[in-house]
Amino acid sequence: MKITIETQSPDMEDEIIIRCAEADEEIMELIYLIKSRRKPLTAYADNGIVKLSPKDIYYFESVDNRVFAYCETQVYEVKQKLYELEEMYPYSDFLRISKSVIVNVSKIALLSTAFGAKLEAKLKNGEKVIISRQYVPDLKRKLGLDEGGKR
Amino acid sequence: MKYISEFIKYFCYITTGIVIVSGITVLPNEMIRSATILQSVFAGAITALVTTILLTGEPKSKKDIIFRMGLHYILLCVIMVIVGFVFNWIPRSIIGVIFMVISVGIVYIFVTLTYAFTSRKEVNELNKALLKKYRNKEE
Repeated sequence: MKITIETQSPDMEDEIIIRCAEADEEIMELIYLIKSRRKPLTAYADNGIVKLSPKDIYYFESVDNRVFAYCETQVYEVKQKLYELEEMYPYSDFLRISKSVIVNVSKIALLSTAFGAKLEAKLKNGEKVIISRQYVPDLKRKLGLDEGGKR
Repeated sequence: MKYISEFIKYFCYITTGIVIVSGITVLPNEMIRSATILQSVFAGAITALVTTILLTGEPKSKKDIIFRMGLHYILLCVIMVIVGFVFNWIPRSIIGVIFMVISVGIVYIFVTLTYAFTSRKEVNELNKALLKKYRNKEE
């Protein structure tokens, strides 16, 4: 894919033009990636409401019907359910890894086997989350290891 | 489907473990009889079923995993002691019970190590793919 960057005068709005024969899955992924990185998420902290950039979120966890967004050091509550977050950020780096956790795959530092034949993801902030066996095929697809599967 | 494939995997590992333990400890001076093999398959099926039910579900935390594995080991010991008594693998005494608890421990270690070994290759592939994908993105 050829990428061309044209500079323009600072007073004009930034614009991305995609020229392609067909908007295939790769192009759609690119579009969603650009859009989702700019789509902030409203989150709630003790001291008020904040707008979170998806790229700053390490993982979402559902606890007792409440959903929390975990950033590098802070934790915020969000009003969306996990499945709504999945729908909000398709083709993004977010991936469901268990019934209660969606992880930002780009924040995974290392994967390892965990006690009890599970997988464990160590995140770049040092936290660890458990990956359920049933979601490992999705992780493989996300990382391009299962070319035959649907992405 | 997930439970069936997990059951088959555990069944193969556990039955192999039981046959190996039978071969090296239970019958040191004898050939293994065909009845013993069938009994081992039966014991493997029951224990694999319990293993699938207890370990395939989603754990909430590391503590939950440790609790499940502890409970799993105790259940396996109870099942195998009963099976051992029924099939006359062990004498009906405290020595027989201790012997079976140790044997279950050996099979447990064998299955855990086999599972860890097969998972390690998968994890290495995933880590390589992770590094490749996000190193490219960062560049």
